[in-house]
Amino acid sequence: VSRAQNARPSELDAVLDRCLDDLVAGRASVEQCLARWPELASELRPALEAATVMRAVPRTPERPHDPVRRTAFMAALRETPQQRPRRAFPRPRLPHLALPGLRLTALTRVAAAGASAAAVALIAVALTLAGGGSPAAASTLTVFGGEVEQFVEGEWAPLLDGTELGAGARLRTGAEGRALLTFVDGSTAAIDPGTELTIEAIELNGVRRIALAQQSGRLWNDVAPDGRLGASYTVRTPDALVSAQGTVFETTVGEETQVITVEGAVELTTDSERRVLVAGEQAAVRQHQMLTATQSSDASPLLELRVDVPFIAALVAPSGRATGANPDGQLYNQIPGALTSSPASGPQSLVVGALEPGVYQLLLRRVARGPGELVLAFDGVERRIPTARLGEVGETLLLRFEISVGPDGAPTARAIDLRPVPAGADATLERLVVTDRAQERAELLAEAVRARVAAQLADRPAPTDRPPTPAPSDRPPSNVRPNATPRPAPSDRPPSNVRPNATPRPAPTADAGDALGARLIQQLRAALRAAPADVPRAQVFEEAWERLTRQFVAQVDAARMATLREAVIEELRDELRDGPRGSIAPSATATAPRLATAKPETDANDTSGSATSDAPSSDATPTATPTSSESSNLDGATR
Amino acid sequence: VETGDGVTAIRPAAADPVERARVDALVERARQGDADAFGAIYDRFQPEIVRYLRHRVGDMDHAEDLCQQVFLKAWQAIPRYQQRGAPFQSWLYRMAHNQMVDHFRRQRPTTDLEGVDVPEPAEAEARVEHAELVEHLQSAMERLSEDHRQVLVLRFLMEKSAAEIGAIMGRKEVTVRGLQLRALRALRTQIETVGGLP
Repeated sequence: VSRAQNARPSELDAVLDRCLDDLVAGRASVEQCLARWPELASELRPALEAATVMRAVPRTPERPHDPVRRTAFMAALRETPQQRPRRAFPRPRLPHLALPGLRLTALTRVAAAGASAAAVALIAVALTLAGGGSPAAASTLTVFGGEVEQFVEGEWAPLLDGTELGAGARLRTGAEGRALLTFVDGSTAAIDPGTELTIEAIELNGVRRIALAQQSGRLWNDVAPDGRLGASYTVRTPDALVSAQGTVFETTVGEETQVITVEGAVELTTDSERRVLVAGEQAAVRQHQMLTATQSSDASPLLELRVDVPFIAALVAPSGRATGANPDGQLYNQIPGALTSSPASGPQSLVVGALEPGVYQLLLRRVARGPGELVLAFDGVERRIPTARLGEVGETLLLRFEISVGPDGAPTARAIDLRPVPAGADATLERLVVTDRAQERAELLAEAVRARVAAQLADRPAPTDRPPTPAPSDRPPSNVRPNATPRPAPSDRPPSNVRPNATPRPAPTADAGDALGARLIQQLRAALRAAPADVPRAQVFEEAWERLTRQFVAQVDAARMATLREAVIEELRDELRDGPRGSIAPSATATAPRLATAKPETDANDTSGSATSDAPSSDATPTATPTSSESSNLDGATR
Repeated sequence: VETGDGVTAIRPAAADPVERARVDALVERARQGDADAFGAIYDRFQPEIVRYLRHRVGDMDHAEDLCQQVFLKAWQAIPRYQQRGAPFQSWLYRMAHNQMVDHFRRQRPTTDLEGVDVPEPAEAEARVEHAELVEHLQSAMERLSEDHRQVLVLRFLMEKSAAEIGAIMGRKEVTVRGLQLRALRALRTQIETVGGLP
């Protein structure tokens, strides 16, 4: 085994950095660098050659100061006021959050005035506390609206947007309070109104450990994938402990604890029982007794949006929370009950399980020239909008539509307009906190999206010799269906679907028809076809599965791979028939530990070369049949 | 500092402790609202920030306009600036980057290579080849991610070290090393996608 094969990515990065220093300073040529590091030469050469090209670009000389410009600048400066930082005012004790608005307003005014000695004293307390230093590993709070408070020194004090909260922080939201915690690894917990929770632990020194204790309300947890052994994300409720990795799940605490797994799998532990809930399953626990564990309803979501490159889409709910992706490669899921797929793995799908009345904003960011299509499906009725002539590269289009509830309780959608976003204004539409780890994942996703765009522009299928979804954050949604959304009878749909607090009912993730499942099937099928006929099919399958597991381990957690394995075996049943079918265990119990320990330190780019399939790219593009749009109020979108 | 046109500008290195203490003192005065102190900061860093923006937006006049906006915003925001170990100019670079991103959102993205004053080689053939090289690079750079473009410009056109780039981008040095490798790989891929170098 050569040194190059053994070299860790960090070593290669460091050697390249030294070589670049030498190149930039003129101390060494490319060939001299390669001669110095012969073991790494094959990997260094392409990068150093690209660096040489960059070095050939002439640099811009610095211009001396233009005195006229400087004078104008100083004149403008003297007329421009500075922005002074503002401190949070602690507020006197509030007995209950669900106070009438008038009373809350009055109390806020008292605090804001800051005139009384008591208020001054409280400010001093707050400043003292604020000066305590931020914790080593923290979460960042985003406040979307309403009351969000922290329990400090026996008082509930209002929290400001952007506050960093570490372990030990206890917070609650009021009747209208909506907030989001973004943890250092990029995981998020959306906090609904009437929720109280405590951050029990945030550790990211080596392995992630995030522990929340939820006393009431609803949390929508979007947990970043982390396949390393010991990594954990837990929510402890009065009734149970919910553990997850790389999943999306919801916990609701009231008289009982309700858990819904939307993607991946979670482990639900009570005093007497332990159960794994895979995507699409839900359970209720009361006083540590498991009441139910059932499949979620597969009722179709009311709203489904499908967008293909050259657009990248995100949806902003009336509350300000967003779900989708942006061209920088950020993938986010802040809207309870909503799911988004990665634009890297196929047409992007945005599914909203529970709609809030109000104005939704669909952001369409064009990342390349070329045709495309936007499909809006509301209540089973599709509206297709060709996007070839919409927008310029780098421009953002905003489709606004309003969801309202009629007198009969039935929801309606009405398109408001479709227009370009004023320059620079789109940056503030989504409220994202981007951490280092999320940024690293985003780079991979953005790269994968660009590869897809480039492949489409070149009118050829996307390459398959690399992981189809290189970003670890890339999690196709569970309920992306290959065909058009069936239109449910209005009476089939629970009326709670349109209430802001309605529980989403996503479909199972185990469906092999989703994008990742399709890619796995494609590569396994190719491996089965390529293998000699005398090799048992089961053996070919297992070897290919092991290879793919290593390949995808950076992006998909063990539980999700286990779920997919079952679906994949079902799908390939015919191709596996001539082998000892019984030797292929649908259960992934043997796979999970390997997944947990085999996560490479490399990024997806560095592992991409291990894929060997040369099968044509699987196209997970939904092939929805155009349906009548006569009854869709979204027709107005193109006007 | 070699400026590329044969002129060497003398500027204290950012790591020079004396220089850094001087800048810190100016920053502290500016935080208290001292416009003259901020004027000195402007004199110290404006040429460098203009050069960076020039590489990103491709037009010197536009870069200077953007730079004025950057420094005005910096003046507004400096009371909230907190010294966290990184040199002050890292903060300015980040503001310049944000301003540039806004600029890109308003217009079709260009690269740092557009409109570069290419020194004329003696041979006409070489001149054509160089123009083609720049054109190919421009096309390739357009397809890179913002992060990749930024790291390449800072590394090769602004001649920053990985540590300095880390301070500017708010990343760890080790992260920047990995990023620059991926950026160079992506650049090579894109060059090949647009037909290779002439």
